[in-house]
Amino acid sequence: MSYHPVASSRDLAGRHVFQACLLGQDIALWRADDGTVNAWENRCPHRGVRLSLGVNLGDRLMCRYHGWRYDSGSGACSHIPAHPEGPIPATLCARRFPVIEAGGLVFVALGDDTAALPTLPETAIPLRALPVGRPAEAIAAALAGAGLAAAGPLHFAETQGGATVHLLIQPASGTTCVIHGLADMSAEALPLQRHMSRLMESRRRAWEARP
Amino acid sequence: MIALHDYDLSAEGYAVRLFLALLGLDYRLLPVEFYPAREHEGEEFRALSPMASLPVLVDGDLVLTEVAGILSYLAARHGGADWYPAGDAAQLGRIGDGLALSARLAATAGAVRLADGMMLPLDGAAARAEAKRLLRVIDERLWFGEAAGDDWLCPGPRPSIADIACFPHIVLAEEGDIPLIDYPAIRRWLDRVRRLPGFVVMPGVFGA
Ligand code: FES
Repeated sequence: MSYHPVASSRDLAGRHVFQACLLGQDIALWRADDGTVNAWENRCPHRGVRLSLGVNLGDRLMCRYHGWRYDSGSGACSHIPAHPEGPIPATLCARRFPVIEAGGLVFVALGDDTAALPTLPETAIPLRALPVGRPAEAIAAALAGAGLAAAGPLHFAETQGGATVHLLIQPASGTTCVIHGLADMSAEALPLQRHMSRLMESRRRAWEARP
Repeated sequence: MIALHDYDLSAEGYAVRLFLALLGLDYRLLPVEFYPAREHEGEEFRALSPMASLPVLVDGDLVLTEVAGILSYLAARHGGADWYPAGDAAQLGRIGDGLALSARLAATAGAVRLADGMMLPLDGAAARAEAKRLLRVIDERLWFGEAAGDDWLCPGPRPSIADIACFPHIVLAEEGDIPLIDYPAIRRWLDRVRRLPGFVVMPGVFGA
């Protein structure tokens, strides 16, 4: 399983829990106050409630339902309100996925056998990600058909507003994907971000209008 | 004292209760059983609210029956410059736009949630598709707001009644089977609303 983009670094705001879906796997993504990024199965080990509904306490994630708390980094359960003194089995742990932050994006792999990250520009600025109600392969085919240069099966590049724009496709579910963009530029990104948001919205309207 | 005729599962009623709480105002709550008794359709209630809509705010002789009117009144009467920028015509226009947006959300995401929970007739697929279109527009607006350092639906350092009016329909959208996973900027904004001092919850809504 290789790494796929699931969010931009900016998406992981302080004390927020971000929800992503990668290849049908629902993921709770959160940044601890010390900067650590956690990518966990979006399922509380207790009764299966979505952890993305939980509370980011800064160093732990608290499940909304019964308040079990899981440590940043290890994912280990460290507090059970109904048994404040009781020993907690060491096996009680949120299921973690390998996660890497690079070039302004956050990448997750579902297995341990992780291939290399896509090669990305050093100083890129993330664009607004665009969820599309079509499978990743269909969007890859559409971008290739529109003449974009393929840098990988789910990685394309084009020139917009004088900058190189990388488009990386996250296969979300079997029927949906999210397109993450990176612009290879260092300053004054807002006009290009706006232009790309408009352009991608209009592409999405066309893609989703097709049966 | 302000009286509020309301139903505890009403998203519109929650917008008013939330705003009253943020303003720190006392009020008398008069419960109306929307479901299953349909008390709001009775003659007695229609005398107060001819559209048979909830909530209804009564303050002395004043009777208001739409969320946009109720929030505007409370903001102008009790909100001070923080909630009612009287001299800022552009901002008042934007807030008006935001209130109209909340009415579109009520007619789509809100209607689907009620239809699902209370078995009312509705073209659910059409309502969900329109709700999705609105949520995409709102998510883009909030994303670029964040990029410019703005946290709220209307530009500026403070939330407005547009945020308060839209919040209930969006935070409860998943009850109508409209997932919010595709709207990350909206999800961050929901967190920010939850953190407003004085925030209150309703069934189905969590605090910060
Ligand atoms: S389901 Fe998470 S604590 Fe019970």
